[in-house]
Amino acid sequence: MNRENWLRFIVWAAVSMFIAAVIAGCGAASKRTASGVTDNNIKIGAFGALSGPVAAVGVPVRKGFEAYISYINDQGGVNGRKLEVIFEDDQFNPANTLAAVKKLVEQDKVFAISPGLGTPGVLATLDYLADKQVPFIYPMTGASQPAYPLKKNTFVVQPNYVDEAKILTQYAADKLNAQKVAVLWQNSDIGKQGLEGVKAQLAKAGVQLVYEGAHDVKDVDFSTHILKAQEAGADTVILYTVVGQCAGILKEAKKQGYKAAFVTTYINSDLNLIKLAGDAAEGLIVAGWAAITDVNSPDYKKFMEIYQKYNNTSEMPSGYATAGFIAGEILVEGLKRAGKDLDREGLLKGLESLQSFNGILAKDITYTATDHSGVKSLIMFKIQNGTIVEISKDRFALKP
Amino acid sequence: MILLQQVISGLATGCLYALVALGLVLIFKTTEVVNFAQGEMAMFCTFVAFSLLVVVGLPYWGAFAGALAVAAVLGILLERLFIRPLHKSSLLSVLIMTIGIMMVINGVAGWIWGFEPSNFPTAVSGEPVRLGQLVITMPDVMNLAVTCVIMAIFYLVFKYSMVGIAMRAAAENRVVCRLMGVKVNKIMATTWAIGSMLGAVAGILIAPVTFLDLSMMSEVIIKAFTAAVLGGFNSLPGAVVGGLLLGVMENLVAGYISTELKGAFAFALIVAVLCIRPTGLLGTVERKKV
Repeated sequence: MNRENWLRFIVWAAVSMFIAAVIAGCGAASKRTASGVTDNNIKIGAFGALSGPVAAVGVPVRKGFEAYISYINDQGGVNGRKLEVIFEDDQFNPANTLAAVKKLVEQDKVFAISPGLGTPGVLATLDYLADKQVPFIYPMTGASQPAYPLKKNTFVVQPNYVDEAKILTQYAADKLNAQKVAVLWQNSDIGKQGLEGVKAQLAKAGVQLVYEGAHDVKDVDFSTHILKAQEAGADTVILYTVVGQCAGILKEAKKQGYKAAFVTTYINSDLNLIKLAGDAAEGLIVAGWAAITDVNSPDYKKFMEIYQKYNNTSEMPSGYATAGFIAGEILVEGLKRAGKDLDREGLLKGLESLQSFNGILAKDITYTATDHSGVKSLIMFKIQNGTIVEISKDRFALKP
Repeated sequence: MILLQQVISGLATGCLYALVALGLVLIFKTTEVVNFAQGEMAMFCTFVAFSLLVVVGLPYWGAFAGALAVAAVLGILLERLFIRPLHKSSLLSVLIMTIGIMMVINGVAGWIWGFEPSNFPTAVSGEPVRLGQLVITMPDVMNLAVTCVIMAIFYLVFKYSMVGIAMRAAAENRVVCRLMGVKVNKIMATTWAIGSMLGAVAGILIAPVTFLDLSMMSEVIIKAFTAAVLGGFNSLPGAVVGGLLLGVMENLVAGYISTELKGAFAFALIVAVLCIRPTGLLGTVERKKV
């Protein structure tokens, strides 16, 4: 053969081998095995922002989660198996998340993913994990996509923004005498779903939406929104955005002397908000879904003890660490109920058997075969004298 | 009334854009380098100021001065180590170098100071000025004053002082400059030092608004680019005019067209200006003999 023909042959052979390998690979992947499980080890994958701007949330989540896992491992693990956690850093960038999750599932062959932090990352990987039937326990987002429609492999814990907004609107009408409501929302899933929830509840709550304004993810100037909300005569303002921007809005409102009741979503239930907004945060009403305010309760003390021991620290755990901890509790409970003969189906069935499950921090967790949507009631907190204080022991849920 | 308040708030925000744009334009005018790292350098120096304030315990103006000193050193080092060796390469190479510097500074800052946002004190505090329904805070007034003063100083220096004329000459033709006895290397170093200091001033004034964290300048730098393009990339007064105009227009778009378009507006403006009047409002057309 002359050189040109030889080259052509090489290329053709390489391409055919490549195609054959891909087909073989696809075939292998569709076999169902108890991947990630050996006789004494269970591999768990997780993702979250461990660096970059959202690391302030991701790092505490990881600390809380891994502290609980280490605690369980020290007690002998689950049914004789120790848990190994591979926590990937996606820097809150959904492109990174998809790559990280694929690596966890296909290369590391993890048994399940728990937790997964951040709306963009969760939304980017939700369908992939559902297709591959990889158990996904506690996608940490308030977006409603993981909960509705039901996915057999996905178990949601925190309430989604749509349901939460409905509860907040009703609460404002019932307890804050709200009549004219304004919504300041972030131009993202958080804000859009929050606004959707508020709008859906307006008629039942008997309040009027007099102004709604969007701001971008990186916006810092909120003067227009406050001006317009004031002009429209809103007596209650619902904020559907993240901590930094919430603080910016509160500061602007204080600057302009705007006296209205401010209510915001549970994702802002964080001491950082008080740190950033200072006394502009006084009086802000924040929702919450985990009963973690009473730092003197034996449950919280146990949590703090585990957190501080396994993180080798004496710092106070943040609200995000409690979420990570709860993810660990639910995962471990599901694994326990799945029994010694462990496979993914078993884990899903184990979780679906949870009825008003109470762990150290996890409370009242219920899943059924048709409902994986997690906590559906909220506790209301208020920022008073520089700390977050429970308004009452009542939990607020939607009346059907 | 609402219109006037929006204009005033817009001017206040615009000042912050203008300060960063000034640094960009200064460095571009003298060294012909578009410094993509300007925002990160400013962020770094603001963190230094924060450390001086909180860890060392200096008073506000002490920390301010310290940060400026660090900024000057940073500017000189970057120019000497990374920009000067590339003076024979194409401008694209230098541009990519500044992008690399931007990423490195961001990573180093995260490594040193961590990722949590913090509060940063304002230069002046006090009750906001209230004229009827209008509210102007003291920091807003301060920012406006600082911007005007800096603009005036630069304008005069560039037009009338020897250093300024040397800077303009070095931008035009380095070889002839050297033949004329101008220490071009010193001019380059000085320019970067001043540009870096401008960034530090901008960062310290912006931090109370955006909160101090690693990504505080990421949005501002884009608006600063828009401001510089709008005003004319080789015009210092243009940078200020562009910044103020952008601040006001953004607010008006948010107020009267749609709040959702506010973010996209700056980008749309860059495209529009480059299509209609590429030299910007106050920039001059540069003709070069090749």
